[in-house]
Amino acid sequence: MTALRIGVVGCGAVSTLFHIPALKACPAANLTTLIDSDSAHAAAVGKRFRVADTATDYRQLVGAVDAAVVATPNATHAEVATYLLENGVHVLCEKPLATSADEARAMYAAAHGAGTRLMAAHSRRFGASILAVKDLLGRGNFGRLERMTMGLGSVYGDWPQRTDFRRQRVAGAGVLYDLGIHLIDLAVWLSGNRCSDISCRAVDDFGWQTETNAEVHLALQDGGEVFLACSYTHPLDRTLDIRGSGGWTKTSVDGAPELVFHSERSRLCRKGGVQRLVLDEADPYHVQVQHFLESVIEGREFIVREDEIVAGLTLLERCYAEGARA
Amino acid sequence: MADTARAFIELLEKRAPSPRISVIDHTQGPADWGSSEIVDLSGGTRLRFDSACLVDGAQIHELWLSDFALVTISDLVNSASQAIQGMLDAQALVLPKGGGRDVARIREAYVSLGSDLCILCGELTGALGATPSRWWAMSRDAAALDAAAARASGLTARSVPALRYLSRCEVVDLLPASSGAPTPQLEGHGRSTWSLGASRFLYELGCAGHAVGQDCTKAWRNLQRTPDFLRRRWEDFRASRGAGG
Repeated sequence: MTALRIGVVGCGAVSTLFHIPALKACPAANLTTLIDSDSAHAAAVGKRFRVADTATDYRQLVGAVDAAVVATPNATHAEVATYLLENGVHVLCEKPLATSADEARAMYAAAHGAGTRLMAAHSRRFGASILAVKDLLGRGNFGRLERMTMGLGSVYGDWPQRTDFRRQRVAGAGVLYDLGIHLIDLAVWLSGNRCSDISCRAVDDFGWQTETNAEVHLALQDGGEVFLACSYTHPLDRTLDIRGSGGWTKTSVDGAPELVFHSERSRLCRKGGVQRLVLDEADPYHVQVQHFLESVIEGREFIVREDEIVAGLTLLERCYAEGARA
Repeated sequence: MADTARAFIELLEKRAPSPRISVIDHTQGPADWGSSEIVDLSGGTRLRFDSACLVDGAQIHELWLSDFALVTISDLVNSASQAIQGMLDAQALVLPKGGGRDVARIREAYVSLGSDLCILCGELTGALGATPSRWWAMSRDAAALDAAAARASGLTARSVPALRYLSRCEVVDLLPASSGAPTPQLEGHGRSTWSLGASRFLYELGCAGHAVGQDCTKAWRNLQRTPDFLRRRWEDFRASRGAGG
């Protein structure tokens, strides 16, 4: 397999902690260029990761790389990714892909028009335990999905970050866009994109004029329910809990690679009762980058599909329409 | 065994409406299974499940995530390490042999992968005359079947290592059944006590050697990681100095 030449746009925390190490470890990637608006920072990151070519303008990637990882502040994803897509560069774009569903549709349209590929980087889909849950759901092990709960929360500032856009009153800011979108995306994906209705309660605890805590309730088309919670003020239980008409599972949204489950439709559980599945440990960002590049090279469909991303952003918009940023 | 299995499949095809029958043939022999689908457990994905007795968990084929009825048919043969090798051992064939003890693997298979129906079969020679005659026995419980076979072979159930181990971990009834019906004498199937003791000693010695070998391999691998560990710490140290300066 010939390695693709890759550029990274935005050298903040998520790039230096996750994307760049994953790209350096991936045999399908040849990381050649780093872009950051701060040239000194780009040079420092380049030196640390032994990437010689650094620049401040993402337009310089055109013709120099085959694909790019876009990890800039949320409100700039559409502008940067669309330019690259229209100019022949495949894009893996950090979540949220865009600040609205219309913006996302326009980005995908740009990719379709130019014959390039666009994937939203929803890294939590690539955790070993989440992939195993999706596999069990796909096999029908839990029957009809009746209830799903999960949460993500950490005190704002505990998580490494280089810029502070998440607490400003700009598009793509707030806990729903930052953490909530992970949960909404998982809910859409795991439920088979069958969310029919949404309600949201959100509060601004610090007077940032953007939400710091939010609880989301999703109704599924066949009567199931999804409860999501995200917080910038306190840690939340990260357990993904799924109950269906024929079984249940518990695992962590982003923790140890294992899950506990019971399925009436599994011979193993019928004989041996509740089982703990122990999975091989793999960094979700490594798996994500490998999947993106292999899918581009081999022309395969991405795990993260366009319709699911648009559905997730539509649900997010409806959260705000209900007053999340009132 | 193949004849017994074929006869059972014929019976199912006659009695059950449109049965879907698949065969897992561990003998990999040239047996003709007719229209039955052959399932190859060497392909597909194996998943690792937590096991109370197996240190590295139980590697179970993904087929066990779906639901099906399982009938296990096995010969009864004598075994150097297990005295008799029957249904419990046959059930454990779906678990790959690892470094763990065979009795632990047998116990895990009995608990998690047990069959809905167990059929043990063989041939009687000597005691019932010059002409060999075939026999079979069935039960829903593999341990009960092996215990009965052990008794018929002139052994006590607790002298069979797998049954002894199982009775320590699970509630199993190894006492003779009280049906009063005559049972065949399966002479020649069981090993003598001293022969079994010697075999078990050698077997346990082999297991201990394997465990020591594994420990040495892991220790050597950890030692090999030392330069990389030191390099990463050195890079982190340099990076922190650079960031601070």
